[in-house]
Amino acid sequence: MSLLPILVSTVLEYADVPPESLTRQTNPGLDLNLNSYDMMSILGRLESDLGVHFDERELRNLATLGDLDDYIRSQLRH
Amino acid sequence: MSPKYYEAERLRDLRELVERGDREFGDKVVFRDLDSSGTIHDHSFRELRQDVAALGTALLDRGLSGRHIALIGESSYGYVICYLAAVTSGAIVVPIDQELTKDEMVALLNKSDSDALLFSDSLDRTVPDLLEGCPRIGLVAKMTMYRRNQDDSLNLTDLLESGRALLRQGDNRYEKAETDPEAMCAILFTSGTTGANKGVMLSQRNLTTVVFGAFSLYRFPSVSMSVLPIHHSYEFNLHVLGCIYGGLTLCFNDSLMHVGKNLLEFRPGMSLMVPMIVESLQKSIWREATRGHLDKHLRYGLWYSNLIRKIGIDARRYFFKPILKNFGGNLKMIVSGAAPLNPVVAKEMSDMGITVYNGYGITECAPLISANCPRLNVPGSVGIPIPGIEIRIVEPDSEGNGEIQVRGDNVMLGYYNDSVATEQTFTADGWFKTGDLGHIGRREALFVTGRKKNLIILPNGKNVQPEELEELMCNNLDYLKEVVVHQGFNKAGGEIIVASGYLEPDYVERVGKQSAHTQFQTDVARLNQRVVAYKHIQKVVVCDEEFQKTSTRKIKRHTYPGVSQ
Repeated sequence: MSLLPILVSTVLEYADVPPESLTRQTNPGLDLNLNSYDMMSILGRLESDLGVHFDERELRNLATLGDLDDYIRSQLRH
Repeated sequence: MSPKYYEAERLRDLRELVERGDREFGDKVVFRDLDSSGTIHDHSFRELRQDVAALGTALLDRGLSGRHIALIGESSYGYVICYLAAVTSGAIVVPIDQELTKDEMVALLNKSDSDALLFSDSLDRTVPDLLEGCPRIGLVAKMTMYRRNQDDSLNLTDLLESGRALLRQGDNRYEKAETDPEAMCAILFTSGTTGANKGVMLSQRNLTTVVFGAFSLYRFPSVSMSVLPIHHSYEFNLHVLGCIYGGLTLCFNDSLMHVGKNLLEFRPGMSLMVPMIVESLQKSIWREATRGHLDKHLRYGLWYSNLIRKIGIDARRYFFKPILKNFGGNLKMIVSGAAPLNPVVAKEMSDMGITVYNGYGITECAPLISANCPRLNVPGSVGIPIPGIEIRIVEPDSEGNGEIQVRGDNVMLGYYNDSVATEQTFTADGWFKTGDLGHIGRREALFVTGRKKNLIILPNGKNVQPEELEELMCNNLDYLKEVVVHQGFNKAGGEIIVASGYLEPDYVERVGKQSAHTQFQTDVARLNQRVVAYKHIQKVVVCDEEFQKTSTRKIKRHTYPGVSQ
């Protein structure tokens, strides 16, 4: 099951954009005014909300919300 | 000493720093860190001295005096004792950014002639590959402190135990080991991984000078929180060494993902930050206020608080208590450095009760050059120089801006194995050329206004040499005729790295402009994987014409957006 709705609601707490503009293709660094620290804060929130542990080294190459969705789902499967 | 400065004590070297810490502060906690399960571990000044002596003895026993010891890992007490034991026993430390790619780490390990590698658990899977590329490295150990190894590899606990055993048997090699405070004790790499990066050689005199300088400018709250990477000179030399000097407790944040949570846990009075984090904290305050429909109240509160401060009533910590509670409730002071800070953000944070002091430094100056401080805070400036160093402005233009040059005990010894670069960066009369432009303005404060060199400074304080990325692209993309890497903006106005390329006209004609653009974009995304994440090019632009050139055929970089002259 896609986690995109959860990702979107968390990102919306940090970025002032219309919800419909956030898709799997959205690159937060490029399309939203979010810096890498904002992104880390979002990931921290998701860690705590979803009860998963993220490896910072594995997060570095995730570009879009779709990449993040796939990564978190793979973590949850493990 | 000028009344601008507080009284502070100059120390000879790091051994004196550690011994003085034990003598003056003994059982007080100096470092607090978290293990992987989230359990907090406290370490006292006395324990620090004992552990540094034990580890120093173990390193001497393994013949590492005078050798180069690379450190790769996240912030922890283990990292601190590795650094201090190495330096105080006569070795040279090489702190390396743990965010780098494997190839980048191999390049720096070899360039620094590293003989040993101490690394944290998170690098476990990377290290075998690193060692394949670094035949010189002999001793390899993990900085693991809070759990037993799963395998038989050497770790910090083993080294500490062997050092303690030797000390119990009367081994006094560490006690007798003498180090020269003027000699190289650390090699720190500037940005870049090819020809662009340089190994900055620092001495213990450099380190003790900036610690003395920081404590001449400030009196700090008793608990601080570390959020920046520990390999960086700003974090280690000022924050870690400064806390030992000043008798402070430094709490290590375990991940940028957990800053908010750890502020609540550790309740620090201060922190050292980069503008990106300060700006995010400020944004988070307004975001929370808006969400709770309290933004109008906050605006009014700020207006009223500023009004009554003019008549000497400072009620900021009372008015803004609910906001300050989100940062642990005690946060009063942030020192921001490594990149330019928006003065509006600094003022607003200060108006809410968290005073932000902007400072200026460069790795080659260990890194502190100047900073604003309680006794002299000039908005928009980077403050006054630390005591005992000199600053001059060379060849000022009509507005008084010229190159900032520095002379003093904070200035590096030179670049490791690079006499040409060393010679180029010092003037004939011995001043260090920062490459930054500025002037001395109001109340003798220094103002930094631009850069002479082609360096992109990101809001997170990371520096990017555009030439390194340009070389990577030119060497790998046959159809790329010319490229300029520069700072640009994303759709929402945030700063990003952009590559503007002029492609071979035959190639564009053959495949069409749209396909050429797509190919360029795809190839740049692929090449991004070869460099550390903060250097990733996030946008490519295909230019229709060749770049403008000077008479010597150099591209006029400053004609492109965000490119400094």
